[in-house]
Order: sequence, then C-alpha cells, then structure tokens
Amino acid sequence: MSNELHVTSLIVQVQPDMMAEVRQQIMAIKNAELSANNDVKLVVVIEGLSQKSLMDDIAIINALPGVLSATMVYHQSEALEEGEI
Amino acid sequence: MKMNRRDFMKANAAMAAASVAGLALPAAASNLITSSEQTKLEWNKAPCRFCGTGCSVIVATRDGKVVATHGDAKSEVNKGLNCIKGYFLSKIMYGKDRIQTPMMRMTNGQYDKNGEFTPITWDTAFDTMAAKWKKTMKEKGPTAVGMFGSGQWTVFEGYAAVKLMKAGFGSNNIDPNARHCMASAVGGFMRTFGIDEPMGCYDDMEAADAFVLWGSNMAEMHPILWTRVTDRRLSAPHVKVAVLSTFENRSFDLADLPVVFEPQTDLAILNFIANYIIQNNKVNKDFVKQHVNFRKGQTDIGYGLRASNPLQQKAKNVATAGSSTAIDFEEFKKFVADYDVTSVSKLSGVSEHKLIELAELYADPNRKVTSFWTMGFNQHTRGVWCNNLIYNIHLLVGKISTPGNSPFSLTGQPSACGTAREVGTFSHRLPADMVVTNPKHRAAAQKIWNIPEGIIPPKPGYHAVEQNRRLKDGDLNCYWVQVNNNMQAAANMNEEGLPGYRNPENFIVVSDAYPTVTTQAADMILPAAMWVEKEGAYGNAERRTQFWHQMVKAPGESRSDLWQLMEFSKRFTTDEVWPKEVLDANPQFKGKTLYQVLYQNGNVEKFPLSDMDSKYMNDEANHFGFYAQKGLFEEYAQFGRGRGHDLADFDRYHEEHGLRWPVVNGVETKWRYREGSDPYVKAGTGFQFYGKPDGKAVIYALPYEPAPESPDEEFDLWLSTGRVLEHWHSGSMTQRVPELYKAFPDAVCFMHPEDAKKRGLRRGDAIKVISRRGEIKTRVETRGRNKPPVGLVFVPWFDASQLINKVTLDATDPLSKQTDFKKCAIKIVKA
Repeated sequence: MSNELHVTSLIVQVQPDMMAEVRQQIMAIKNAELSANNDVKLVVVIEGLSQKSLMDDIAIINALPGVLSATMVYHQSEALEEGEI
Repeated sequence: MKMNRRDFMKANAAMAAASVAGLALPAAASNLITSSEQTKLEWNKAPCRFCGTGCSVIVATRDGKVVATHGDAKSEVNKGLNCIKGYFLSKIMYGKDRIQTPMMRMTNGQYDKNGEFTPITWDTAFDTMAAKWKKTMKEKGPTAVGMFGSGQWTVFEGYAAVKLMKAGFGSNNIDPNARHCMASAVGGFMRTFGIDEPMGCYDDMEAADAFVLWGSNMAEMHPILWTRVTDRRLSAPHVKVAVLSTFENRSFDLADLPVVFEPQTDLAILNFIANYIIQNNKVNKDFVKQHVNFRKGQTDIGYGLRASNPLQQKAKNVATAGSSTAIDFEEFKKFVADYDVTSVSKLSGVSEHKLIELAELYADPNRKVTSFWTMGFNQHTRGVWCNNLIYNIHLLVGKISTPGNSPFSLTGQPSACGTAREVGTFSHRLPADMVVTNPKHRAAAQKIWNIPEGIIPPKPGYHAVEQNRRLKDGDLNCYWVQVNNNMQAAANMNEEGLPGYRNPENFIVVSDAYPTVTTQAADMILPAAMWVEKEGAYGNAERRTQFWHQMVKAPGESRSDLWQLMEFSKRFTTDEVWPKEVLDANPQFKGKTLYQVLYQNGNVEKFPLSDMDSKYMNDEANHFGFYAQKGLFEEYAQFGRGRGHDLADFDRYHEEHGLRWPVVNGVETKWRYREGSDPYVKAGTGFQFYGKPDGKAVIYALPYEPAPESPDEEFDLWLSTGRVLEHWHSGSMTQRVPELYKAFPDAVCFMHPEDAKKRGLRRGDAIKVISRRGEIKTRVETRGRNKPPVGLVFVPWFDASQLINKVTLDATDPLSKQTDFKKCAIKIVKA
C-alpha cells in the first residue's frame, strides 16, 4: 500500500450558467473538495494516495460539461507515518 | 483550531490556487506557516521548455536534482499558472532510458552502418565524425554536409551552430524543425511588414472585444493563454469568441461562433471578409491611405513537391512563386469581389449567416479584435498566403498595433522565435532578419564575426524537406541532428526520410537526451544535456527573451549542444575547410582551428569566468575557460541593436522575468509600429511599418487555390494530423512521464460516428489508415475531445508506435517550404 499522500489544487473555469451543476458534480467526486469560487471560476483541492489518482480526478473534472479549463497550481506529496490520516 | 498534516497540505494548496485566481479564502485557511520541508529546497526561475507560450516556472532543486516546479506568480505570461505539461517538468529529465554515453553502430569494433549501437568515448565520436566530414567536404564541397536543428535550441546553441555551419564550414545547409512549424508565419511577416514576429503581445488578450481562432486549438495547445482568453470572455459579457477549424475541438467549448469549414477554403473565407469590409464601406480609409500599399501576388505556384511530381509539372509559375506586382485599392476591390457570401458559403460549407457574423467582428469599427493562428494556417500549401490574407483584413480596418487589435501568430516551440527566427538558423537566413542572398547582409555578418569576405555562400542551403530528399539522392552525406525527432516529425518518411538516413553513402549523427525514432535511424547518437542542466535563453511568441541558470548536472557523459558544437569545431583547421583563395588573400587566418576563428575571435571569449554568478554552475564556461554564453549573446546582439531588434544587456535577463524586444534605453516594447509605444516610430507619423523602406505595410491580392490532394473515390477521406494536450510534439519527453503517458497512452483515429458506421466500424476497432504513400494501424475513436465532421479524420502524431507520417504527403508551401500536415487523402479499412 502506498504510504504517500498527494495534494493538488486546481483553478477551474466554468460557463457561468453551468456553475451550480459543475459544483454539484465536483462535490460528488470522493477525493475532491471545493474551496473559494466566484461566478466563473472555482478552486478545487484534490487529494489521493498516488499521482495517478490525482490525474484521474483531474481528467474527470476536465470532462465535465460546462468546464472550460482546469489548470493546476500547486502540488505537494508527503510520506505518511504509521497510523497517520 | 489545530491542523493535522493533511489539513495543512490541503490548506496550502487551496491558498496557492486562490491567490493565483484572485479569490478570497476564509481567514482561518490563510493562517499558515511555511512548511519545514520547503525550506530545504532551492527555488529558481526558468522558462518552460515545451511550447512557444513562454511560461515562467519556479524550479525547486534538492541534492542536485529537480524535485518540483510551479507556475511563476511574478511572470506576466502565466501569472502563477502551469499547464499539465509544465506541471510535470520536474520529471522529464529523469526517464529511466535517458541516453548517457555516445554510441555508434559497430561490428567487431569498427563503424558499420548495419552494426549495433555500441558505447564509445566522446573522442572517438568526434574523431570519427571529423574524419567523415573532412573526407566529404574534400570530395564534394561544403554543400554535402548539413545540420538539422530546432526551435528548442537555446539562443546560444542556435547561434553557435549558425556560426559553425555558415562561418566555419561555409555551408548554408542548416535548417531548424521550425521549418515545419513557423516558416509560413515568417514568410507572411516578411512579405507584409518586412520584419518578422508579431507587433502585439499577450496584453492584447485583456483588451480585445473579440477573438478569432484560425486553425488553432488553443484550449489544448496553448492552455495557459486559453485561460486568459477564457477569463476575458467570462468577465466581459460583450466579448465574442469565434473558433474556426476543419474539425470540432476542445476550443469550441468557449465559442460563441463555432465554424467548421472544408479544408483549404480558409483562403476563400479570408477573401470574403475583405470583400465584406469593402462592400459595406467599413474600410479605415485614412489608415489605408497613409500606411498601406497594394500588390497582386503570383498564382498557380505549385506545391513544393519534387520536380518529377506531375502536380508540380502542371503548375505554371513555380520559378516566380514569390513575385508580385503593384496594384491600387480599386484593383484589389475588384479582385476580392468574386468572394461573395453565396459562393464562399457553398465552397466552404459554412452557412451564410455565420460568414457574415464572422466578417462583422472585423468590420464593426467599435470592436477590438485579436486573431490567433498556429498550424492550421502555417502547415498549409498556401501558408504564407493565409498569413498575408489575415493581415489584409486587419490592415483594411486599421485594427493593428493597438491594445486588443492584434493579428497574432502563436508559436509552437519554446524558442522558435528566439532562436530559429531571431538568430536565423534557417538555410537562407542570418541573425536579425538578414539573409545570405544579400551581399550587404553577408558583409555585415562577416564583419561582426571577424572572418574574411567570401566565407558565407550567397546561395541558400537545403531547407528541411529538401535535406531529406538530398540525403536520399546522395547529395547530402554528413548530417547532424540536434534537439528534435525529425524522422517521426517529417512527412512521408517511407519515401523520403528513412531511405535518406539509411542511404549507405550517408553518416547520420543525432544528439538527444532520449532514444527516439530519429536516434534509431542514425549511425551515431550523442547524449545531450537538457533544460536546466545548462544555462540557457529562449524567446517566446510575444518577443519575450527569457534566461535561466544551470541548476543541476546532466547525467553520465551527457553534454549540452553548445559544448558539442564548440568542442567539435576544434577538430578542423581553416586550411581544411576554407577556400584557398580566401586564405591566400587573408594569410593571418591560415593554420587556425575553427574553434579559434569562431569562438576565440575577440568577442566570444571576451568575458571571464568571474563575470558569472558564483551561486550557479556553468559546465560549458568552466570547460572552455570563459563565460561562453555571455560572449556569444553579446556578439549576437550586435546584429540587432539599432536595427529594430534591440536586445538588453546579457546580465539584465538573469534578473528579469523576460523582456520584449526591441529593448531601447532599457525599456521593452509592447506594441510595435505605433507612435508612442514603439521608439522606432517617428513623431507625427501615427504608425510606421518600418520594416518596409517607405514605412507602409502591404495588402496582397491572392486567390483561393485547391489543395494538392483531396479525397476521391478510392481515397475518400481527408486526414489531418496534430497534437493533444498531454503530449508535446513527438512525445519523446512527455511519454517519459508516466502520468502523461497514462492520460493519453496511444494515438487513435478520431472519426465521425457516421463515417465509422458506413465502413462497418465500431469504437475501439483496429483499423488501417492508408494513403498512396503508406499505412499505419490504429484504433477508431468516435467520442472524445476531437469531433471531426463527416469526411475527415484526425490522428495525433506523438505516438512512435503509430507513425502517421508514413501516410502524410510532403507537399509544402512553395514560398515558405513548410509542409502541409493537415491535408491529404486517405482510406480506412478494418485491420
């Protein structure tokens, strides 16, 4: 089992009339968390045990109807200690 | 509130993104301390080494290795953002199969063209190369040696290469892969304005009221610029976005006006818009009168195919393809009058109301409009014409050189502008837009280089496509390829590229960091240092020159292209390669090595090691004993200073996050040709297109002409090739990053569901894509991000296991010699 935790943040640009729907869809993704937003963009934080799992979630968000772009800003990975999380 | 480590990481991530996005976070989340892990990292700036956008990234090193990158918040280009490729930059240098030692094809310890790749020393490599080069030049002269470089060369490397070829070997046979990418853009700029590169800059994106994409899928190919266009569109509701392409792509998601047109008919649509502007009395008459000349260009100019090709023989005006004659506005008006909405709609397959809506974006005097284009225009057998025709439109309405009014040619490679174009690594060029055919330009170059008259040949060398043909024909025998994968990239590899490289008469050397299709086709492979393993400089699409320091060591025996070029030059003396009559007239050059005359010429070795910033490594400078990068740059800068191409002092670029040339009195230039913005424009003129002697730009009358090959009964589909977001060009770096590879592992053939059904095919079926030249196996994709119309398929070209360039046609623009990778006729059968 992976002993790493990966966290990344995205800026997602959204068609304004689709914002509510896009937010709902992202909330339904297990490892994704919504942060700040305005009418046309929102910040999403994704966590996962591998970079692959982050990439999969980013691909899902990128493919949501109404999403115009999803751009990464920050990535950090840390080795976890026994029993952490 | 107590945070555990996980919460802390997430808060940090949210904070970084929110600040880049300009969004506010709740106070609790912003109350952070710096992670102790991060303080162990050494952070420095460097431009991304992928596309031509020129994003600045902050690179973290720890224990001699790059471990992380993030967008540079201080960069005016990307403002803290990074696309998926830039995000994984830290990984591109650490692929498991990195080449780390020189290798040569050998059998029983001897060179053998059909032998196995065997590790050798640098000395053996250069000795073998030098012997081949000398023998070839002695027997056949300097036109039998050649070099193929790249828009990924650093400025220093490209400049050192031009010197080695043109001033050292006396051969103009040097061309960059930018020939496949930007040659038509260069041709367009030179023809219309007399000086290369865009007049505007990225700041146009925040000022425009309309964006028109002509054959450019910015959403996938220039994602960071696309976020800026998207921001503008979403924050200002009056802004309109028109996207034109031969198939629907990701950029259509933002389009207010989506336009899919029949391949090649962009020529007619462009002329229709000019006609619409004139017919509706929307010409900016004052601007046109003061700043524009009209000319009619030569037509029926062929398709840049081999002279033996019937299509080429049929064309009447191959020899005079670039000529033109002066006309006036009335004649131009008459010329474009044929391009009325009814006939152009019929030809292009675009509805009349869409054509009018598009034309109105340009015609409306109250709308600032920015046009973007890349390979749709440039990789076109009439690519220079396309570039000329879009400038026609902007010039007719005077929408140019002011914020938001911008015909903007986007670039594919990180230094296609900075190195290939500005340094002039093309077979016909010299630095700062000078050309080898002009005796004054040759004299100027020879003076700056401190070499005698008569070394630079007046005849242009072989361009990219011609190089492959001459290799095949046995006219070009010693060939050195650096920083690119041209065997995979060039069209028609079955009939031209591969037979050329494997011709027993030829010796092919390829410098690269990773095994590629091109290294496999070579006779010798040289291991190259990449990106921040060396000090470098790139120039992006908005004329921005950016520098970086060496941050880590290259692995094993890998050396930078700069080291390779300079070190190789030590193996030659002037007596071996320069004409006897030149040496007799200039005896002081006798017995000198090329290294001495090129790189110890009083300029390049001028700056001592003590000029370097002691914080950073510099393997080349330490090896040669002087600050080579600074010496090369300062000599190179002499070409452009005072001639509209002014670069700042070397040291300043290490401090700045890039500067847009011309940099005059320390100040960069955002918009050229406009009074008050460009120091070269004289007071009282308003605008001055000073690349032309009379300060006037040129509007060209040029017609629609058909593509060289279009679908017929047997080969019944159009094929277009191109890139995808996750991979850059041939994938030789991005395919090494597991996450990128997984995101888009194998190329597929995107096609319309109806076209699949007609052929009894379903999504995922194995198929053959067949042209008159070759075939590949791939799989059908009827969904996903690229949606071709009925009658056209799209195949990306990054996948070395599915070489689509076996299928493509090597037809080129006769003016720019750039290949059209977007149009040929194919058929599809079940595999």
